[in-house]
Amino acid sequence: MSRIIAVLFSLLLLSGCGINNLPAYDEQVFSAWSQVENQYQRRADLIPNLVSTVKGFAAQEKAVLTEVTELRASVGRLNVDADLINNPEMLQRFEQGQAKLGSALSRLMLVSERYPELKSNQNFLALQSQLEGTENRISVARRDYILAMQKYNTELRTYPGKLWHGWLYPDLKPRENYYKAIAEEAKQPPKIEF
Amino acid sequence: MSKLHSPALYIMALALLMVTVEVGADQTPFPKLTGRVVDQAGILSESVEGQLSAAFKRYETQTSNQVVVATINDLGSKTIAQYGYMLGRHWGIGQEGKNNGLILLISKHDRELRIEVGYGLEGLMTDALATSIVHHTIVPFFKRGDFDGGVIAGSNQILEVLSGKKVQLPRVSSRKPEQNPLLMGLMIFIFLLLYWGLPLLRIHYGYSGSYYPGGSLGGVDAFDSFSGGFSGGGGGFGGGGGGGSW
Repeated sequence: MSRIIAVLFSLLLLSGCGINNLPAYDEQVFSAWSQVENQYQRRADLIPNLVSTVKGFAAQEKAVLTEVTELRASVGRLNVDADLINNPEMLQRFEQGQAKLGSALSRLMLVSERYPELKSNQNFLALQSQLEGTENRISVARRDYILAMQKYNTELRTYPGKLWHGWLYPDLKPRENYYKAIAEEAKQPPKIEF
Repeated sequence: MSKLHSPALYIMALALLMVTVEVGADQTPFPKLTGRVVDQAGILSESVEGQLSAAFKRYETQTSNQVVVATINDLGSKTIAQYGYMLGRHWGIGQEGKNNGLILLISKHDRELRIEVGYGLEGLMTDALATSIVHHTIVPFFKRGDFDGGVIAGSNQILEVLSGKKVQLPRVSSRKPEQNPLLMGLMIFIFLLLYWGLPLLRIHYGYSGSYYPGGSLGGVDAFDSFSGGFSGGGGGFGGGGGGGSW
């Protein structure tokens, strides 16, 4: 009798977890991605103010200033496509655009080092720490997104998630394309030197 | 007998394995959350730890915001920004849903520090403010090797910023604060009374309030500060805050 109870209890433990995992993890992937987009947007919102502040002290650094402005605009145009999360190629282009913007920004901050007046400007100092914080938030959000995808993919391919997938959620697809698109970049996060 | 048991045992073992794998998935060597001040690096004096813990506790009772100071020996392979938010999530500082936690993190060997801000406090403690507190308030103390003074001054400002009003923290004094033996005795008595009394109360009268709540324990000061019965409320961190080095 106790044996039967033990078997039943164990089966319950094995299968009890999992029936809702796939849709829940799928949802988590989406919310993790929207957090990534939020943080990119936050960075984009900082740029006009930053550019105009730097311009006030270092107008001769035209090259990097226009580069930042143009990259921001081009990434913004990509972002218009709402279907980004269901299109790996678009996602990859978006990520590449964001990475370029990130490195242009770090060049801008590097250039700013040469202007003592700019470096001691209160407004610039505030913007600098905000940018630093935003870059940090972006890397946190991207890492969370990658982890969410990893969790989802693993659940989809392993038992018992695999069972539930075939049985109840055949329309959910693995996300390894997206995973590749974003994880490649993540290995080498753009570094900001101040 | 054992042959008959084996299939059941196998499945049981498998089930247990799954549970342990789930639990052990994200094991990073973070220090244990032993209280509101976790001084792993051993750079803070005991009296300062006590003062800070009391101030943070009082502050949490008022606002439910959780503020914690953590000193560690080194960051390992992580940057302080990575370590900070991971530690915040690991400990779950801040209340769940409000995400109103804040950690002042100090790494002794890397000579770096950071104010890590939970999602819910990012509006009050902006990155710019956090960076400014680190650079202008704390770092000057640390450069002179005065960790106690830096942490006290920094915490003072953190609480001021978070509450928008002055929260008085005691000044650091070189002499030890005198302890009233009568008061100490009374505190120990209350502590023991609560320690033994509360569980009994629960058993006998079906006292069903949460016995070890996350963080604040009503007005029962002695219990919390003696047992270190402090735990994070499950708050989330997203990389907000600012830092610097000394």
